[in-house]
Amino acid sequence: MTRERVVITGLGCVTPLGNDVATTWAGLAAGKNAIGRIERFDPTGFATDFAAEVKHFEHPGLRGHFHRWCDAKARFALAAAEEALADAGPLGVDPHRFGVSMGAEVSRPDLTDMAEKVRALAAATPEEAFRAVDPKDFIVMSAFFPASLLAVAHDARGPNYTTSTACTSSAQSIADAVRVLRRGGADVMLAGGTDRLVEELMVMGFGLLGALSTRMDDPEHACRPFDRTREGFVLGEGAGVLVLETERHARARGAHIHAEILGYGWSANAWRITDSPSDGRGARQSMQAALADAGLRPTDVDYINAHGTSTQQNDASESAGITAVFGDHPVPVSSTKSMMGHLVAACGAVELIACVKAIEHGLLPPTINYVHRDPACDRDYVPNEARAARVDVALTNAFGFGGSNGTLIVGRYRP
Amino acid sequence: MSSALGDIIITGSGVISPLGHDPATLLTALCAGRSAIGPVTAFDASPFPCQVAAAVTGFDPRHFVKSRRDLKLMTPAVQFGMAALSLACAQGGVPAPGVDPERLGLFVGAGTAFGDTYDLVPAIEAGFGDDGFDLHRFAVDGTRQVSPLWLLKGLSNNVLGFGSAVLDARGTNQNYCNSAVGGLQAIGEAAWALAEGTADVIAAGGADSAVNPAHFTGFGRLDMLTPRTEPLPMRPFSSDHDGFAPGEGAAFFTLERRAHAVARGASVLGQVAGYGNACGAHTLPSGDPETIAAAGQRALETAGWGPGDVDVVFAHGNGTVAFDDAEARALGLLFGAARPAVTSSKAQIGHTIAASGPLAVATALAAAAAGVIPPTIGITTVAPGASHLDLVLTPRPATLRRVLVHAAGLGGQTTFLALEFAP
Repeated sequence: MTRERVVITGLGCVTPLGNDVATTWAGLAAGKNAIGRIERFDPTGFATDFAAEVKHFEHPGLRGHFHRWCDAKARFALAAAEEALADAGPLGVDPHRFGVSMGAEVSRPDLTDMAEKVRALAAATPEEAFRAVDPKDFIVMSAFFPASLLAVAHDARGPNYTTSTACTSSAQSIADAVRVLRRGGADVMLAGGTDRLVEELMVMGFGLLGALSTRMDDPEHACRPFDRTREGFVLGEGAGVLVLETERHARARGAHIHAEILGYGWSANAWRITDSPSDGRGARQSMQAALADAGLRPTDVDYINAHGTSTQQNDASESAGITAVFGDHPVPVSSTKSMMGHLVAACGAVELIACVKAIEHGLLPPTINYVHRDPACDRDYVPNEARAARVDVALTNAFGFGGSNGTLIVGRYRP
Repeated sequence: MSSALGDIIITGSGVISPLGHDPATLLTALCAGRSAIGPVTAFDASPFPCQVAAAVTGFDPRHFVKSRRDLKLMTPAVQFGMAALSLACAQGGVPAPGVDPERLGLFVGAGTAFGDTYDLVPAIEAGFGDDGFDLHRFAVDGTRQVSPLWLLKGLSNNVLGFGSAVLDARGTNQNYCNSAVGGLQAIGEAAWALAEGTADVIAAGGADSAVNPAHFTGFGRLDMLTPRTEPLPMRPFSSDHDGFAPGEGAAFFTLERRAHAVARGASVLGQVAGYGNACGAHTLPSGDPETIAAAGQRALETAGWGPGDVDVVFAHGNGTVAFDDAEARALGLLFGAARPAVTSSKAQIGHTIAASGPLAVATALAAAAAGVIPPTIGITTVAPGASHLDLVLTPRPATLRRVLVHAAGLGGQTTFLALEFAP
């Protein structure tokens, strides 16, 4: 099979560290913390009261027919896509050769709004209750809707995908875009993910599972991936979108190429839906598959942006997987979640952008809040301060509820 | 020309449908003109503009899911998916001896897990006091009313999560939540993954249920459901089509490269020859004929077929005026002077959303084996916009060599899968 090379020509993101790539990267490079007490609602009484919120974010939504059809996850995606497309420059692409692949999950109703409805509906007739529902909600809240909206906003009539594999969603949605481009199914793809998590029902749901950090007396040091005293992840939110295109198409239009996507790997833990086997076999397999796909050896990798959620279980299992693949190769590993929390369906995309910036700037973002060494996590985690280093090849991992694992490998572009 | 996918074949087919729990039973019922669409019994549908549905009956999930704990976390859609996956793998002989678990994959098209918000009503009630709803009271008193595993029941990738564990399928995997096209995308992308060599065997398909208040509300408010209550209320491509009846079910398949299947002695049910995707969201929530035709053209190209090669199209045919009209026009654009037979089973099994494409694939495999095209029933007179189609109105004996299956989603997505059968 012929295989087109796939390059990255546009980057865009909205994160708790900043509402564009430059601000987000500046925060990552400075080791800045974006985690604090929740401001969007009063979190008193919930299992935890802090998170990494997107702040000062406004997006007008789409004009025209779809103006009111934009909820928070869609607005994050629209903003990130606009930044990525501005960065990429004029695409000159046939709309039928321009597709979208997003990682996203179904939106949850706003709790206060839902409570008002529950009470109002108790007093209403069932028919009145039915009539009170906004017709567009069924579509707008669906997982697929950000991908549809991006297609409308940018006249992308080609292949359109939405992946929903929890925290692995956007690592897989980006890989799907790579697969489509490689096989000649499109010339350009918008790929990434979006998620909105700092809301009452998500804090409740993840809190009930005991998955969240509860270090409420010290939230700014709560997310401490690979540190021995880590005790849960921190909810984040936002979106990352990349413009991917075939090298052929990018060169023909004279685009600036940020980097090349060299390989991807997918695996399943085939274990339990909330945790992974302690030997890290799923992580190991996903990284090995990506290396094989890229035609690289472990020693070719200069930096790993880990999934690194700051749960006991993930970080030990991921470290075991890294050691199984990389052995004595002293590859630096860091978790940018230590600064901006866990963006769940968007984390794979935003962390891939971090890898691209690491290549471009020759700088490894740190794992902040790393103090106590854990014998179960014995890699070089780039503790607390960014480190200057030449990066030609970077690898990023994402692992999710449901057991799907995804790895992406990105490299300095060489014609 | 040969398929760009190489030679990817289907070796197992499993079905949970409103008209039976295996493909042959489903086909027989379709050809007998039976419809599973009838009054809703699962809940009180009186507040809704639609009173009918096609429900799965005679289904006991405990036959397919051994863990009681896991079963509690599974919505009906997930249960159907686990069952169809199990049936497909039984027929396909998967997991096959000698196949490395890391080379066994699972691709799923899933529906939207809406049901979990209904589970929160008691918690919300606990958040109310004399002064109205109070968030702090909800956080403290309401949370106690919620199952600790609430969030897990709402995960959209539970067929993938539970299914991969049961099969020990550790390889490549995907979960598409993409309205009605997710199931066909799962099969098409699984075929490409096999062609790319990232797995030796992949189970792929879709599962969904729209027979619940959340879907009746959602589709009802979009005016997409039929208000009729008489027999055969749903009438795709009929001049009096006025919406669909919600359905539910699942279909899964085992796929592999032909050489791999032959080497292990597996049976060949058909070949996945082509696949095409597009998105016409700019006309949402109606379909866009040109985009649908472009997706069909892409499927023909990957299959190496011309328009005149297609024997039958298993159309989306969801029975709404807008979609039927767009699809009929798209088929006209795609086929021109060639007039393949066209059929849709939704008048008999309702709209099963993410499962609808896979159920049509299962029907097509059974139809090719039996040498008969199942009919589109319920047509009083053919809709004016569909008069150029060769609609199959009664079961039609036919040798099927090349079949297209189409699905269209609420977000403008359109997906075609091309199936080829040996002479």
